[in-house]
Amino acid sequence: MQVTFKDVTLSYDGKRDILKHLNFVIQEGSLVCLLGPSGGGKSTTLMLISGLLAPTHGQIYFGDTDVTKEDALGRKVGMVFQNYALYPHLTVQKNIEFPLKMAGLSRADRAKKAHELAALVHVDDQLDKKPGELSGGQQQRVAIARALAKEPSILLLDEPLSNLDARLRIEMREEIRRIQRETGVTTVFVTHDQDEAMHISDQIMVLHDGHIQQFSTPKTLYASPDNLFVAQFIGEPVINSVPASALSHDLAGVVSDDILSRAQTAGIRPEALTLPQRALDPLTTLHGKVIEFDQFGRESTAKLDYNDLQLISTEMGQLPHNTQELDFTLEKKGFFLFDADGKRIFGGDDHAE
Amino acid sequence: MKKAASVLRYVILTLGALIMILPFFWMLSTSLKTQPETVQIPPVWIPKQLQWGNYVEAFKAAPFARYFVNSVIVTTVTTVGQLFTSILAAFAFSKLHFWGRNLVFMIFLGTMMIPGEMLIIPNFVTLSNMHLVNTYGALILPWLASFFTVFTLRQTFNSVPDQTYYAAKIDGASDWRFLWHILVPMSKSTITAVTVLQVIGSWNAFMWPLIVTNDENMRTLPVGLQAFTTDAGTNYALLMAASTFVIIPMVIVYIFLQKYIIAGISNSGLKG
Amino acid sequence: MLNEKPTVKSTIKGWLYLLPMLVITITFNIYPIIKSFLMSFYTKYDFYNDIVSAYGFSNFTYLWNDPDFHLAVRNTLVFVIGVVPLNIIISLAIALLLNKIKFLAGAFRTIYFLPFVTSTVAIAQVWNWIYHSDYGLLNYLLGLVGVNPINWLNDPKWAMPALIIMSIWKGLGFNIVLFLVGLNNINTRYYQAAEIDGANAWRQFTNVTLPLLSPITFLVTVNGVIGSFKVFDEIFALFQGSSGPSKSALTIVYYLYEKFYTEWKYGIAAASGVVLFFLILFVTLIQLWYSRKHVHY
Repeated sequence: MQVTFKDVTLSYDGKRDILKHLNFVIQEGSLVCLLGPSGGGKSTTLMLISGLLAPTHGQIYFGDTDVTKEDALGRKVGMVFQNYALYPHLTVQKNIEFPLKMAGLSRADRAKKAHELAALVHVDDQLDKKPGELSGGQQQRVAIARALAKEPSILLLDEPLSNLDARLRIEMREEIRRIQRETGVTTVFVTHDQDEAMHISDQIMVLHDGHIQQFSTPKTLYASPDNLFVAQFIGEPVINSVPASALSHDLAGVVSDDILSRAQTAGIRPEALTLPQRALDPLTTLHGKVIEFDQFGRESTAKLDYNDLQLISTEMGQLPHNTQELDFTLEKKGFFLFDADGKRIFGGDDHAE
Repeated sequence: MKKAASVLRYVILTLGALIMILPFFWMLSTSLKTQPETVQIPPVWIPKQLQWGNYVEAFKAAPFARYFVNSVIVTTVTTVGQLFTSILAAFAFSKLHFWGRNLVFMIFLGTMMIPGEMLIIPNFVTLSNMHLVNTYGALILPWLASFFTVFTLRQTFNSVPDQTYYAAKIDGASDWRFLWHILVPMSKSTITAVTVLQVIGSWNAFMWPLIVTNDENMRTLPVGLQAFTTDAGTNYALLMAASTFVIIPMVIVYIFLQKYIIAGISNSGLKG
Repeated sequence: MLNEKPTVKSTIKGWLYLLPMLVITITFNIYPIIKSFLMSFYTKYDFYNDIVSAYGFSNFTYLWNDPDFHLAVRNTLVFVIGVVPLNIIISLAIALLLNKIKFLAGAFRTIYFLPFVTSTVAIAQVWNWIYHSDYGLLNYLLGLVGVNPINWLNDPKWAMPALIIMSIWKGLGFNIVLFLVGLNNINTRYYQAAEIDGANAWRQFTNVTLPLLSPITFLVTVNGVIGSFKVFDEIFALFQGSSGPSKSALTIVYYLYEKFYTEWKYGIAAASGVVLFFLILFVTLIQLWYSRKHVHY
C-alpha cells in the first residue's frame, strides 16, 4: 500500500512540535527505513503510520483513502516492536493465530495460516513452545509472522533488531529483507543504525529534529547528502568535517569564488583522501603530515594533519613507516561544501538516481 | 569455626521452629485425648489411644457443618467478586485514559490510611437500614471491592509493557478481550497470590462476621467456634478438635500454594 | 490512539470499568469514612430511624473523662511497644539465620510462616489452653525450670504479657518473609567490598546489612505499628469474649466494640474510632519523619 503524508504535524502537549509539516510518499511494495538519532521523530512517524498516534494537523493516505481518522485496526497495519511484544502465556502458534482469532477465522483456517507463516519465517519447528523458550532472533521471527498473519496493508517494524546481538542483527536484517521480497508487503523499518538502514532499504528517510533531512536511496544518501547532518550521520568512519576557510587556499580556482565565499563547512569522506598515484578523479592536491597510521588486514587508517586540522583517510594504502610530510589528493567524489545553514552547495551529484 | 557457626544456626532455628510448631502439635495432641488425659500432669504428649471420636462429637456438638458451608459461601463469593471488581478497576487505572482517573486514584490511595475498624459502625447502620443484618449480604457486600487489591493488580498491569497493549489493539483485540485474553493470563501469578491471600483473609475474618450475625445459622466458622467455647466449657479435647477443623482448610491451602502466598506478601509489602 | 485526549467516549468507558468497584467502595468505604467522622459528633442519635437530633463535642469530652478509655489507650500503647520491637528483632534474627543456610531453609520458612495463615480465633483457643493455670502446657514447662505456676489469663498483671507473647508468635512469619526478601535484594558485591575493606561479620552487619535493610525495616515497623494499634480478634478469643481480667487487655478497638455493640453508644464508639485514626496518623507521621533521616533508599 502506498503511504502518503500531507503536511503532517504532531505536537504532544500543543506546545512543542515533535514533527513539523511532514510530506512524503512511500511507494507500494518498497522497504523504507526511517533513520535518525533518538528523539528525531522516527518512531513517532512510525506510530503515525500505524494509527496508534493521531496527527495534530495534516492528512495521511493509504493509497487514495484518507485514513487520518482510522485507528490501527482500521488501517490493517501489522507491527513488530523492539521488545517483540509477544504474548508470553500463549504458544508460538497461538501468538501467530491471535490476530486471526480476533478476526473471527475458524480454528482450521487459523492453524493453516499459522503454519504457512511459521514456515515463511522459519519457526515451523517451534510452534508448540512459549515465547520465553525461544532466542531473541526466534522471538522476532514469531513477531513478524504474527504481524503478517492478518495480511497487513503495510508492515511496520520499530527498531526490531536493537535487542539482538551484533551477529544475529546482521542475520535478521537479511531475513527481513528476504521476507519482505517474498511477500512484497510495503515495509517501514525504524532504526538508529545507519549501517542497518544502508543494507536493507530501498529508500531511507533521515529524520532529525522533527524534519525530513533527506529521503532517497541509500546510494544517493551517501554520495549526495543534502546537508551536513546527513553527511555526518551516514558513513563509517564519520566524514571529516572542517571549516571551509581552512581549505580556501587550496580550493581557489577549483571551486568558484561565489561558492567558496558562501561555504562554511567542508565535508571530506575518508576515502576521498588518497595518494596521488592512486587518485581517480582528483580535485586538488593538499600537503600535510602523517600523525598516525594503523593497518588491520586490508583496512588501513591514517590520521593526517592538514593546517593543524585532523583528517582521517582510509585510502592511503601502504605508507612507508617513516613518512612524515606528504602530498595527498582530494578526490572529487566524496568532497562536499556546505553553507552556513548546512545545505550542500558543492559536490555530490544531484542527478545520481 | 565455620562449622560450629553453622551448627549453632541450625540449633537456634530448630528450637525456634519447635516453639512455632508446639501450639499446633499441642492442639492435635489434645484433640485426640480422653478427657482425663487432657488434665493429666505431667502432660501426655501422645495419647495412648487416639480418640478420633472427639472430632465426630465436636462436629455434632454445634452446627459446624452449617458454619462450614457459610464460610465456604462467604469466602468464595467475596473472593470472586472482589477479584472481578478489582481487575476491571485496575485495568482502567493502568491502561485507559479518561477524565478523573488520577483524581479518583489519589482519593482511594488516601482512604487506605483509614483503619477499617472505623467503618464498622456506619456500615452496620447502612446494612441494618437495608435489612441485611444476619444475611449473606451483610457478610459479603462490604468486601466485594478492595482498593488494596486494585492497587496491587494495577502495579502488575503496569509492568506489562504498553507495546503488548498496542500489539493486541493492532491484532484486533478490544479492550475487554485484551483484558481477559492477554492481561489477566499474563498476570496469573499475582492474581493467584491476591486470590489466596483474600481466601485466607475471608476465611479467618472475625470481627465483622461477629457483629453482623446474631443468628446461629449465619455464623461463619471462626464466629461459630468462638460461640462453641462457651458450650465446650472445660472439655478441651472437643475444643481443640473444633479448632483443628477451622484451621486445617487454610493449612492445606497454604501448603499447596505457599509459593504464591510468599510472593504475594513480598510484592504487596515492597510496593506498598 | 495513544495521544488521544480523554474524550467523552473514553471517559464513559473508563468509568464503566470502575463502576462495580466504585459502587461498593463508595457505599462501604468512602461514605462510612465521612459518616463515622460525622457520627463522632452525634450527641443524640436515634439509630432505629437514623435521626440525629443534636451535634456536639460531648462524645470527645466523654472519652477525655472516661477512665476506661484512658486505660484502653494505655493498654494499646503497651501492646504496640510490647509487640513491635520484639517482633522485629526476633524476625530479623531468624531471617538472618535463614538467609545463611541452604539445607532445610524452605522447611523452616514454612513452619515459621504457618501461624500467619491460621485463624486467630482458633489458635487463640489453643493458646488459651496452653496458658491454663492448672493444666496448661506453659506452666508445666516453666515448672520444669523451677518457675511457679502463673495465672496467665486471670491475673491482670499477666494478661497483657500473655497477649503479647501470642501476638508475636503469630506475627513473626510475615515479617520474616519480608526481611528475607530484603536480604535477598542486597547485592553480594557490597559484602565482598566490605570484606576487602577488612570488615568483620559484625561490622558487615552494622555497616552493610542494617543500612541496606532499613527500607524493609521501616515498612515492617509501620505495618506492625498500624496492625498492633487495631488489635481485637486476639483479645476477644484469648479472653473468651472479654477484655481480660479487670479490663487488663482493653484496647481502643475493643473499647469501640463494647461501646458500639454491647452499650449501643454509637457516637462515643465513632469518636473512639476517630481518636484511633488520629493516633495512627500521628505515629505514622512520626515514623515517616524519622525515616527521612535514617532510612537509606
